[in-house]
Amino acid sequence: MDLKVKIGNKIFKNPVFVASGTFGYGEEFSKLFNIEKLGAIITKGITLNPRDGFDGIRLAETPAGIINRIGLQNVGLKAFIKEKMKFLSLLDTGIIVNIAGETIEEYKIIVEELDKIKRIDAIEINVSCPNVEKGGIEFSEDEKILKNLLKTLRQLTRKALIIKLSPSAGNLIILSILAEKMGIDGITINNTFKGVVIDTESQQLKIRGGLSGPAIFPIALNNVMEVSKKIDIPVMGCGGIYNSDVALQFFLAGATAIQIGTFNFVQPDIGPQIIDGIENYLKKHNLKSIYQIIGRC
Amino acid sequence: MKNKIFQEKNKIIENIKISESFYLMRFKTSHHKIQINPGQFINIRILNTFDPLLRRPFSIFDFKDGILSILYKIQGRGTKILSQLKSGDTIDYIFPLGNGFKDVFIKDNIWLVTGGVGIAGIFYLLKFIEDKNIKLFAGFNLLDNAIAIKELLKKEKIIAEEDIKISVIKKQNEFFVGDILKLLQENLKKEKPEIIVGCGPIEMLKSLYDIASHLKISTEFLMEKQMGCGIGACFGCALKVRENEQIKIKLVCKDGPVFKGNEIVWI
Repeated sequence: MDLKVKIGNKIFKNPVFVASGTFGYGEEFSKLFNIEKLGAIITKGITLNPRDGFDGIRLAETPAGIINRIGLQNVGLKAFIKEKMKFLSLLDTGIIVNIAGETIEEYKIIVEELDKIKRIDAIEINVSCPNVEKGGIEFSEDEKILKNLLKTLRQLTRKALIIKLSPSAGNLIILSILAEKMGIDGITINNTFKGVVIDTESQQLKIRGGLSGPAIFPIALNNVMEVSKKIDIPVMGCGGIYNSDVALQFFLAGATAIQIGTFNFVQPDIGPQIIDGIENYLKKHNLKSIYQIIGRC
Repeated sequence: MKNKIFQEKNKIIENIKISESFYLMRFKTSHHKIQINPGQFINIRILNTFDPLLRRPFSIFDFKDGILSILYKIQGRGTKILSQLKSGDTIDYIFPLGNGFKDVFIKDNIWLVTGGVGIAGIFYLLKFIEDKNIKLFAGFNLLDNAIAIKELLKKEKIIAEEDIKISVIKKQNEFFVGDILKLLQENLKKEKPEIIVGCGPIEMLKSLYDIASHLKISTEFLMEKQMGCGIGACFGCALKVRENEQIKIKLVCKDGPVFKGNEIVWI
C-alpha cells in the first residue's frame, strides 16, 4: 500500500501532518509517542526575531473548539536554527517550517536562511500576519502585496513552498489561484477562523482570536472542496480533524495531505491512529494508493 | 525513565464527595513504580466527546501503592461532569507533567499556605518533608471543607496536629475565623520560617508574596493557568517572569507549575 504523497519536489512518506502551532517544535510530543510515524511535522511559526506573544488571555474553550490568541510566541530564526533544528534534523519524518513576518524583507531573510538547511523539506508561509508597512492589514488581504511576497520568496528557494490561508482573510479560491500562478507548490486550507468570546458578567471581550477544533470541520471541508477543484497544485486539508473518517473526507474532497491541529492536545497520538485508519480503509476498498481517493467526491 | 510521561486509561476506584465543595477521586496507574515529584500534575480527558474539548489539569493530590488521587471542586462544566463519574468508569489521563517543588527541599523551617482547593497541590508534598519543621496554614470558605481536609491530614499522619492551622471564613468551630493570611501574619509576629510555599487563588498568592518578601522570606508557589496541551506545545499558559534582570515568558505547564515568588511578575 502506498501512502506517499508529493508536494513540490518533495515526497512525504504519508499524508498525515501536524499543523503549525499545535505541535511546538516536535520535542514535547516525542515523550508521548513515536512522532516519526507522522508524514511531516510543521513547526511553530518562526519569525525573524524572537517574540513574546500576546500579553493577555491566550486561550478559551468554546463548544467543540478553542479560540487562541498566542500572538506568534517563538524563539526567533537564529535560536530555531541553532537549538530546535538539532532535535528536528535527527527525525525520520518530513520537516516543514512555518514562517511569519511583518514585512516582505523579514520573510525574505527567513527563507534565505532556511534554504541553506538541507534537512528542511518545505516552508509553509503564514500570510495571516499584519503587514506593518501597510497599516497592519494582513498580507493575504491585499492581492498585490501577496503577489509581490510570493514572487520574491519563490525566487529564493527551490524547496517546496506552501502557503497557509485563513478563511477569514479573503477569497480562498482567488488567493489559491494566485499562489499557483506564482509558482507556489501547495496550499494549506485552512488557518483558524476568526472568533470571539464575550464575558457576560463584565460585558467585556474575553478573547478575540482564531477558532479551531472539531467545531470548524464541516466549513473547513467545504473550503478544501471548493479550492481543490480550481487548482492543480496539492491542497493540505486542515480544520477540526479528530478521527480517520473525517480525515478521509478531506482526501475525498480533494486534499493531498491533511494537517491535524487542536486534536493533538486532546489525543496526542491521533496522527498514528489516523494513519492506521487510512490504511485500513484503503485495504477494505482494495486500493493501492492514497491518490486513488484524492478528489473522488 | 526521567522526564518520561505516560498516557493511560484506567478504571476509577472511587470518586466521592468528601465535603460541601470537595471531591476526591482515586484511580490505579499501571506505572506504579514511576517517580512523581510533588507539584507535578495530571491532565485528564473528562469525556470521550468534544464538549468540553480540552483536558483538565489537576495537581496530583496523592500517589501511594500505585494509586493516584486528585482533590477537586466543581468550578465549571468539566469538573461538574467529572464529579458525576462513578467507580468503575474509565478515565484517560496524561502524567506526570510539569516540574515539581525544588527550593523547599533544601530548607528546614517550612510554612505552607493554601487557599481553598489549593490544598490539593500541597498534600503530597507534606510526605516528602515530614522530618522538617513544618507548619500548614490552610484557609477555607466553608467549615465543612476545613473539617474534611483536617480529617484527611490526621488519617495520613504526615504532619503533627499542632502544626496544622486552619481558618474558615463563614462558620466558627475550633478554627480561626477570617482570612488565612491574617492567621499567618499573627504567627509571623512570633517566628519566621526560611521558606513559604503557597498554593491557591492568584490574589491570595500575590498578597502572600508581598507579606513574605517584606520579611525577606523566600517563596515557592504553585501557579495555575488555562492550559491547552499541558506539555508545552501550544504556548497557551504563558506567565511573565524575571530572569537575569530580563522579563521573559515562561509556560506554566512546562516550565512550572512551580515558580519562585520573586521570579513571577505580579500584576
